[in-house]
Amino acid sequence: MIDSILMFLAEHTAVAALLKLLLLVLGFVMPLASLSTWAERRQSAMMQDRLGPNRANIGPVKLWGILHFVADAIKMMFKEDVVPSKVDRFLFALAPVMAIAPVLITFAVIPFGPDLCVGQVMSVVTDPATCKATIPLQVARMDVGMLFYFALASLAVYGTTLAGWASYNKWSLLGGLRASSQMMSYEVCMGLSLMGAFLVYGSLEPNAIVTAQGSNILHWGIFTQPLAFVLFFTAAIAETKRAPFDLPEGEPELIGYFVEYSGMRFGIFFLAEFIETIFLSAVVATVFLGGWQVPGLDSSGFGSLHLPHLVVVLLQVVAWSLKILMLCWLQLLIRWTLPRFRPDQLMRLGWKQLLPLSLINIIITAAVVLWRSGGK
Amino acid sequence: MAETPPSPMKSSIAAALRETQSPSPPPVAPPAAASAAPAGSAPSSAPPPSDIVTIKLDGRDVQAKKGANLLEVCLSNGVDVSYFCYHPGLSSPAVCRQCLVEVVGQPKLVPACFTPIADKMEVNTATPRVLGIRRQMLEFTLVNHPVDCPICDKAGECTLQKQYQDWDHVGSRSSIPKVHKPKMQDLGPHIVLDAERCILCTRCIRVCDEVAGEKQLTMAWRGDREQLTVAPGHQLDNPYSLNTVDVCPVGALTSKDFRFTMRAWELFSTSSVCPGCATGCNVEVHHAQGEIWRLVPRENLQVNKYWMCDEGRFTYKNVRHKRLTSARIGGGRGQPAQITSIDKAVAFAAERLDRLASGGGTIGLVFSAQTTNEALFALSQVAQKLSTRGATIRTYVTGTAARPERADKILRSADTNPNAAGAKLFAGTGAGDASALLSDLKAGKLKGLWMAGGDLPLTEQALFDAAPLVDGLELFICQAVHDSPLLRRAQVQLPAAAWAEVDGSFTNNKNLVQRLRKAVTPQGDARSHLELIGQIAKKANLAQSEKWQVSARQAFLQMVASVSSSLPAGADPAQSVAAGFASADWGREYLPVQLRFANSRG
Amino acid sequence: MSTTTQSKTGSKKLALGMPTPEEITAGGIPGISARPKLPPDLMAKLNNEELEEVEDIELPTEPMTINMGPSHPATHGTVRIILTIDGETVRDSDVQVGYLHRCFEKEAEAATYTQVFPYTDRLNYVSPLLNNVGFALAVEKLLGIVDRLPERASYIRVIVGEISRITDHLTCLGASAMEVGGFTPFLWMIKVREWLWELLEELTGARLTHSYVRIGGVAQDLPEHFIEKLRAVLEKSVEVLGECESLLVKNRIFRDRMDGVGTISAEDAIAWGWTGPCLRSTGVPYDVRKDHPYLVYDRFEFDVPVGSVGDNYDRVAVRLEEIRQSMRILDQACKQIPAGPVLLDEPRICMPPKNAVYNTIESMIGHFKLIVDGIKVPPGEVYSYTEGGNGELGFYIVSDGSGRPYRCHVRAPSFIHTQALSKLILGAGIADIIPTFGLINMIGGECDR
Repeated sequence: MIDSILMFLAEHTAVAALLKLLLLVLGFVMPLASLSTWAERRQSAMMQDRLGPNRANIGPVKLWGILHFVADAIKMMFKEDVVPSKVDRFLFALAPVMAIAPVLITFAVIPFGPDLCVGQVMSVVTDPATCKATIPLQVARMDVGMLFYFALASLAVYGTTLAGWASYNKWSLLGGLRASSQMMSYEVCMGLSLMGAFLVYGSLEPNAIVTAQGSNILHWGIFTQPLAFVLFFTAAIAETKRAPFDLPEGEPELIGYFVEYSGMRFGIFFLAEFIETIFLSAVVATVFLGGWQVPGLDSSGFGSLHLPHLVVVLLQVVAWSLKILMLCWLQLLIRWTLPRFRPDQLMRLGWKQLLPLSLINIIITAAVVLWRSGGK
Repeated sequence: MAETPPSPMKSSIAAALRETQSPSPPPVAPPAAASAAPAGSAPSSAPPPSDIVTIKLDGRDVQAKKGANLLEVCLSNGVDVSYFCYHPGLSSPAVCRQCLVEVVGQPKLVPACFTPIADKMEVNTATPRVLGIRRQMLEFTLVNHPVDCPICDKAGECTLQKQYQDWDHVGSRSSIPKVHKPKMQDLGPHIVLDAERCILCTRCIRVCDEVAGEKQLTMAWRGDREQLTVAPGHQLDNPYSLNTVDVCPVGALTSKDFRFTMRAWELFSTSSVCPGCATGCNVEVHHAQGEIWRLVPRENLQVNKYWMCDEGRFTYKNVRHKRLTSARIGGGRGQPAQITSIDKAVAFAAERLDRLASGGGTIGLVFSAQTTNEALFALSQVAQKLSTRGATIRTYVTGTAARPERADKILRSADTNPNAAGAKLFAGTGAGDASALLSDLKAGKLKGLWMAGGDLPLTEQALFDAAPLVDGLELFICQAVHDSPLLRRAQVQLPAAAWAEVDGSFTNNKNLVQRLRKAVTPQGDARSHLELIGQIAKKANLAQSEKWQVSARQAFLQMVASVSSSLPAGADPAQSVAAGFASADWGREYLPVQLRFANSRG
Repeated sequence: MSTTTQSKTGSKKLALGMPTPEEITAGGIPGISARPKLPPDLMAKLNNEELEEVEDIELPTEPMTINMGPSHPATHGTVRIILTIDGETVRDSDVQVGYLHRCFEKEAEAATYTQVFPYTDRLNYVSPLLNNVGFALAVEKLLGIVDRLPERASYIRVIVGEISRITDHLTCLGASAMEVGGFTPFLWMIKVREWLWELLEELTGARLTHSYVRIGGVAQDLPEHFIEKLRAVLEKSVEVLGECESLLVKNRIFRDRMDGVGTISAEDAIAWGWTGPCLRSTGVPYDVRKDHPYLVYDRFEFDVPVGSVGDNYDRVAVRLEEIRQSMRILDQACKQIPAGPVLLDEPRICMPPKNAVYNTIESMIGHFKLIVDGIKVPPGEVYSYTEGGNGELGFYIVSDGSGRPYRCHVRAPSFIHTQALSKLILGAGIADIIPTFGLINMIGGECDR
């Protein structure tokens, strides 16, 4: 039964892609983003000796206040949607969509598990290449992979810039300008810092990068490209516009590019920010933390301990999820620890420090790769 | 109601402040007028030099008239001495022993209020011995005083509280129970006695004896059981009985009208003049929360000294009750009038008035003796303009009816109008009286009638009967404070502000022009007569920007200039009404004084 | 004359563990006055040279006028700054105060001296007790009873005053941290403030508007075990303070945001009339407690910390050190406080005991007169000044001999500091306005009165 369904999916890739996208976005990303709105507040409360939101409940079900995200969503939905009188209504409405759509689409290139060998799910698979039919646990496997990600991620800047522009508010305009300059500057650094990893793993395709990292933890990006990891992580946090890079929002200064937004429109910006956080974690996990790889777990199992294929795949999907959760948590810690940069300091950091370092990283990596391949 | 003794520690700031706040200088009392004041009440008339003696008061030389009251000399020289029974308007029996001072050479302390001064007398008022005795006397007084301050009407303006805080302020040493005496004794129509609180100063007895001339109060029993009482079969019902409440240094005598209505320290005081009769007693209007709560007499040695009659104290009730609060216009002739805005009513009146005047009609103008000089002056100005426009003007002086039975030789006058002299002056020599008005109405001589004040000297029934007479008028404008049957037949009914709601002046029966000050805001839409006349004149193009249309003060200045232009400044008011205007003064403006910070009135 | 904090060797670690009393008294952030001079490029930036250079090569722009406040999340205390900005650079600014004007001075003229205390609570509402003390001392100076104050009352005033100073500085520092995005240290500091406020609540019955001081003393004696509780709270507080410091003073981003921003020279600061921590940040060791001791401040050993450059970081550092110095004073005051009455025994100034009021006419009258007429203060004028949370808090009172002030003026340090804000933020970025404004610590209630 399962086999026949899987077989059907392996043959009809379009249906499979749709299903995977739904599974990934509705089953993982959106719940995680919603949860992280709660987690952020609970985490910050823990750090600040507070209780944080802990009271939302459905009857006796309280779950440490996790249900707050439900309450929040309901509140956002039912809040009055205030549209100031002089805004550009079309752009004003377009901006939140522009903010959230790219980050959701980019999840298509993230592999959340290895290829599933159809027909051998319950048996031990030693070499995935021998599978007759496979379902890649990745929505879209494209050779341009990471380039696709960069291309789409840079679209997200339109959301913030449009929001700032269309709101007819000087403060939001300033926020929008800050956002665009910041995101464009740091995209350069993001791209360049990943170049090293591309050189090492020889591919732009995320699944290939993951596969190339293998189950040996020492071959993971964080060890082969430690500087790039730091650079990329920093630049990517700046890309998500979260503290210490939350200048476009900068609530005591500018209030942010979404100052005129209310209700669910604001909620979408809010959600987009959290989805970006998750996506950033996914990219970092893919490139630097071995993606879905579990240390020591090959496709046949842990060394001599053989495991059925389905168990291996599930373990790897769980590992991928845990890595993302861990990285999200790490971002929360950073967010609630560090103060905010000033715009000129931010620019100096981006152009004068991160960019040269990533260039150096590429040169060194290239040299090492060249040297190890024997100059060919 | 003695004047507060000046505090020994008074800086220039305090003096300046006191000057701005003190209501004591009478509004119309230029120094030159003093010589014309009733005989014997001129405080500043200089005695011949031979009468001046020099005494040593607390080590400094002080000059005063020989035989003057030592306590008065002390107070006027800024030496604070405590006292209860002394009152400047009464005789001094020296019963309270609170003003004991040391006279060098005398073995015992002497009561200052009972000691005439002699040349080279040496007086010490602040030696430890004097202060000790003063404290002991207070302690003695307080031994049987009930712990009543929170429920006592006098609290806050109590002399006993003040003297204790100034001179004693030491805790109680007594542990014996207090002597109890009757509380809530009904002494008369206006007064309630709390015998426990009484400190036996006998001021009230002397007020009845010396001011009202009726011996109705006396002391009974002796020692710590001594208490005030009315003579058997008598009541404290003389027409000046409420002065006993004012002079009472504690809360023993309280006014039935005022008690338990307001706390004294929450009241604000504005000085004004009683509108009850032609005497024009100077009063303090005590008001709070936009309402008047009581009237108390204000010292003016030329007019009322320290006193006023009971009837005058209740004139404030007229400000509260039966008021006309909104303008009404109607068809006249008994048809019901419609409530409207003042502006619409004024415009209506002006248009009709203009038409009537241009048509050469006869217009009657009524100068009410209840209205301020300024408004009457304005009406006289309007009369001139109307006649130049072609109207024939007839003037009448009206007011409330005289009541000969209330007249006495003390303060009460038969004329119950406060401004009869002013009304007669401004209405002109050919003015008729109320009966002339009625007969003219009956004869149909008038086409229009404009009343600045709705009172007529008629009983209610007579007024009701006479009211249809106005139905024949083409135009009847009535500015009135109170509702009346006559008013209800007017085509334009304008609500006027009562006496306590306006700035202005009244001329009393001694031709003194005395200042009224606005104490409370007018009820409803009411505006002062002056303002209403000014607006009608403006709308009817009779006067556009005359000085009298600007403000009451401007009207006053113009009025004084115009009335007394031929008289020297400071002319003797006894000569003529106009001479009274020559010596009139608007006085300075000040905000109402909160009694809380005006020191104890005591 | 005051002594400045001697430079520590810089080797002393921040007190992260449980501190000893010696550490409380001797504590201090390492090298506050031994701070290295700012690097030349940073100093150059203060003069806006870098930004000017950039301007030349960019496209011509027009300045934009923008309202910061009165309704703006950072303008705690409601102030309006009309900014003329060129990009993010402030070219001109117009600081408008007055949005929190409550007629304090006029209201005081209508209230008895005792009734003014609740109004003073609302001046600098972060350290109300310091205002209470300042006003009480002014009236007492006019009454001539300053020398007769009960010793215990003076000590209690010092204790509550220093607690208030700590809460004031904590609020200022925490808010400044929050304004540059450091939300966590803010809440830690607020946590400490809460501990202190709980103590004050136990003492005065109110967390914020205490109205605890009376003319001639204080309202009531310290509750049982107050001193012990205070010591315990201080020990905890030092620990939290160290943690906050580790998140702020040692944080590169925070230092970058604070160093060299909002610099003012000592001469300028004096010319503007600055006092308090803001003046001390420029290196002028003026502290009313030291230079013109009042109450019993001459009996305590404490140092007056000063900064070197007069920038925002100096203002942070001075306040941090002042918290420790206040703890030092508290420690000594707790040791020295004598037993005795807490209110002057003077029936014409202080209330009689309640029992006597209810049972004897004498005390009833005394009580009544004090409540209704107020305390009769001899005519005259007085200027009395104390070290408030923000600087020299002066009360100028004119008395006409009645029970209420004829005129009461407050020399509010916030108002005087806010004057210079325009100058401080000229040439800075929008992002610098907020921390500069925060560290001047403009308290609306005090500034606008």
